[in-house]
Amino acid sequence: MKKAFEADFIFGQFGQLECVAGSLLNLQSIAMERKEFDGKRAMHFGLLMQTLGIAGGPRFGGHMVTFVWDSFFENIEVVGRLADGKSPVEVYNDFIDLKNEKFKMGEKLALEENKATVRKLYGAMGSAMFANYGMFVAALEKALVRLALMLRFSKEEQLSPLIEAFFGLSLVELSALVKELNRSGIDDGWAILLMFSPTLLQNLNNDKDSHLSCAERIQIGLKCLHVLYKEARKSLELNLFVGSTGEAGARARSRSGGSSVAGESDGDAEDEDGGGSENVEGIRGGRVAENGVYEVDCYQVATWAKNSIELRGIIATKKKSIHLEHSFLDDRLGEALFRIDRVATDL
Amino acid sequence: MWNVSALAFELVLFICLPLSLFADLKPAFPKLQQCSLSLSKIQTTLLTSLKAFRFKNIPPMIFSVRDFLIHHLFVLLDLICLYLYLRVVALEFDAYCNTNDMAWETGWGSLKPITAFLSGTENQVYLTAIIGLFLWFKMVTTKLQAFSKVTVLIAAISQMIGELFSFFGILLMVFTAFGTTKYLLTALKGVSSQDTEGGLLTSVFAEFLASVNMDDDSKDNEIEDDEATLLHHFLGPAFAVLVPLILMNVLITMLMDLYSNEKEAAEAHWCKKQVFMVLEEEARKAKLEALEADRRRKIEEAETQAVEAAAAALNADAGAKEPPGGTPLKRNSISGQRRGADLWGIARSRFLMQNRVVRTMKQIITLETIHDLAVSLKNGESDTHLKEKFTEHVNTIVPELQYFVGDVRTEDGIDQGIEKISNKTLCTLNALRRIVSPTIPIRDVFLRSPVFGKTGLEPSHKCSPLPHSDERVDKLKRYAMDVVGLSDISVLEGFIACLTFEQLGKIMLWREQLQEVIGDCHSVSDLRVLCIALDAESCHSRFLPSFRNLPVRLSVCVSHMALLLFHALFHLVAFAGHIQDSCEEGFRSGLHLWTIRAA
Repeated sequence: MKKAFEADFIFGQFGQLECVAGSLLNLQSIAMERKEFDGKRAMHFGLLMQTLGIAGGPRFGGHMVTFVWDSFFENIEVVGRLADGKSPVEVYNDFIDLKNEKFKMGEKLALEENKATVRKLYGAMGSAMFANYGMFVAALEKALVRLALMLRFSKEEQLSPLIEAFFGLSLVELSALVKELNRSGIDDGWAILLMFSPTLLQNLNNDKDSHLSCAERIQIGLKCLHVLYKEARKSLELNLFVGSTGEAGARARSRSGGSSVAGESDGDAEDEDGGGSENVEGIRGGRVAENGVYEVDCYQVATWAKNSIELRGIIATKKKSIHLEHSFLDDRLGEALFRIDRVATDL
Repeated sequence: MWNVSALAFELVLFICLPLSLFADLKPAFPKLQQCSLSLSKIQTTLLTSLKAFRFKNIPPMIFSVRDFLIHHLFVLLDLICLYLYLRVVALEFDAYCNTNDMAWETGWGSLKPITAFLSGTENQVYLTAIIGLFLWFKMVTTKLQAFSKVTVLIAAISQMIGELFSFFGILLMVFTAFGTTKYLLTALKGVSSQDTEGGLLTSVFAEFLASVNMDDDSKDNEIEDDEATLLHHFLGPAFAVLVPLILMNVLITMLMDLYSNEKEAAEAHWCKKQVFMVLEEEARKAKLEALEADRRRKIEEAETQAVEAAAAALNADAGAKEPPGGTPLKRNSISGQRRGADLWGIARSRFLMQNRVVRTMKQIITLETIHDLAVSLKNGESDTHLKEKFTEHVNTIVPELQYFVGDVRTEDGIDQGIEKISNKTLCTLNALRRIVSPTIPIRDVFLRSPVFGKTGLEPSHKCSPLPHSDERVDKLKRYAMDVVGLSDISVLEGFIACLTFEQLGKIMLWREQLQEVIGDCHSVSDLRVLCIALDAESCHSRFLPSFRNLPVRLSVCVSHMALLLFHALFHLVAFAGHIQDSCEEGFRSGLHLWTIRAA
């Protein structure tokens, strides 16, 4: 559906909240279409096709177990609200609330052992960014729910290592992560979509042979995320400065209304439909958009991860190393897909 | 000294340029990447061993020395050049102190002109060998087109060379503009012929000196002081190092951009080539079969003729006579048949080649079998029956597209590629059948209750099916049939089209052509759905150089371009000054000449 609808939306990404609210904008414009085609039906057409595509994979073999389907259907129902006129931010927040009902993050943060750190963090970043303590806690909850879903946690009991790892980070890392994970890409600046970030966290978490505890493993992942967000932010600034979407692998997409934008090949189409006065491309005619989603594909994420001295330093302190390998699907055809593998070896 | 320094500098260029390119192009080539990873492993092992030998406190930086070097080759290159420059300066200065009269013309003057190079027999042999090698390589490349990496690389390089010509054009203009200034000036000034013998390089260098008011005329006037000489010997190597460095960095940056632009197009080009290779091969086989059939037919005819001849002989014996010239006529007829057969074979092979493509396109347009497949799904036909229908659909409609999903060099390669994608699509279709068909048996329903074994969740086919009466089954059916609209057979056809093309229709080269013709399709009513299907191209993961290097590269390029502009500005100022001086001198000479003549 990502390419088909020009929706720039992958259902799996939404399921684990890899994407941001701004990623739903194009899908919304499809869902709201009434003139050319039945937008609601087209959206559900794509959603069902993606779901069946997953069911047709080797893991499921044409069937689907109930709890997986329930989860997918739950997601479909939430995304379906786009056709009822809800905004992407509302839909995204609805989804977070839905998941938070299970996780009960608010209760976790209210615990005595976490309360002090939360207060400290609010003191460090709260006054500048958030109007009150309540908003700050909501942002913290959102960040934690996103991380929990990236790790494919589904139960409340699984959360304690994540919270331990999260609050074990330095204040600088914490505030940066909360800030990045809360950006929607709509009216709050550029949000960054780091492809592969869930896989990175999951791979680290699933490394059962490691001598590190679960919280320590997750913490490495969070630190990696922090570095990658930093790299992406630098790259985005450079892109905006240079006035081009730059090299393949990272695309700047900006929209605050009804039309799709920027990117490498979308420019011509956009010139035609234009969009509302609020719609601005990432970079158009020397004008830099204020909002948007900066998509960094898995290849680029992996390249940064591989090349970042800072990230390697983080890994080295834990006496671990991350090996990122290129995996070429149908190598003969020259197609390539990047896959991340973590091989933990003590030096 | 100059020869040695120039040789050393060229050596550095020839080592650093491929290394730099290797570093950035590495991700595109899996073998290189594997080599790199192997090197990394060796390095890690080595460092582990070193640590075992009590070399403690190894900084983490050392672990990434290799990567650091590779990814900062531009900086490294600059450092090497700087070192070389300082080295040359030191040697030059030393030589100057020893001899006190060393002139830069000594070094450049020893360079032979191109005509001398071409006149040497040995050099001519070399040139011929190079041309031969080039021709051989060109011949080999036609055979290598089965290999993606080589073909893609060659296609990309050929595109890049085209782009580079424009760059060389600009380079030529710059050199000509700067280089010929000295000739013009010397002609204007009427200086001795000694200066013009230095060649283009002399002229360029002299112009460079002139731009900083260090014109070699000062030597003639014997006003050269120690400070000026020192500066003179600093600027010589600086010029020799900086200009190639600037040009090389610009060249590398340009090559990188060009490569990333051209590679994708080259990949698509290669896919197209593959298809035509296969078609040509099939046409060749068809031609051989036709020739073989023709040969058999001729043998049969010959046998028939022999029988007829025998019969005629028998008849002749019986008194009947053959008309004169009968045998030559028959021979002509046979040779005519042979020519006709050859022509027919060629025409047939051509027709076959064209027809296959056309047929494929047409069948994709009509999508005949999609409807049958949709009806099969709706009727809940068995797995086997559905598989047959699906295989028929895939194999008869889009055979050429299948070549894109496997290795065309071997039948196994094609089969593996097709099998992989077919299985996935078939499984998805089965899942769809389990949802849309009202006659599915209970054991075959889509939704299953999870069963956890010792190793976790059991495979879904081992899980117990949910009864039809389960609320979730009902909900799913309602969603698929009513909300998505699969109860409408045309939407279902569109859905199947999407699933089929999801994998097979991923080549952009075809997609555009398909989109043009698909508008005439009437078998599927919802054209939007079809457009969706055809738009569902795969994510061709594109090669990209490390973005991380871009700031470094940009800063290097910007600094070098600034230097170049600064230098050009100097030239302009100096040129204006020269013109003014020359005009004044010319005017004075003319006035002097006129005065003498008048006297």
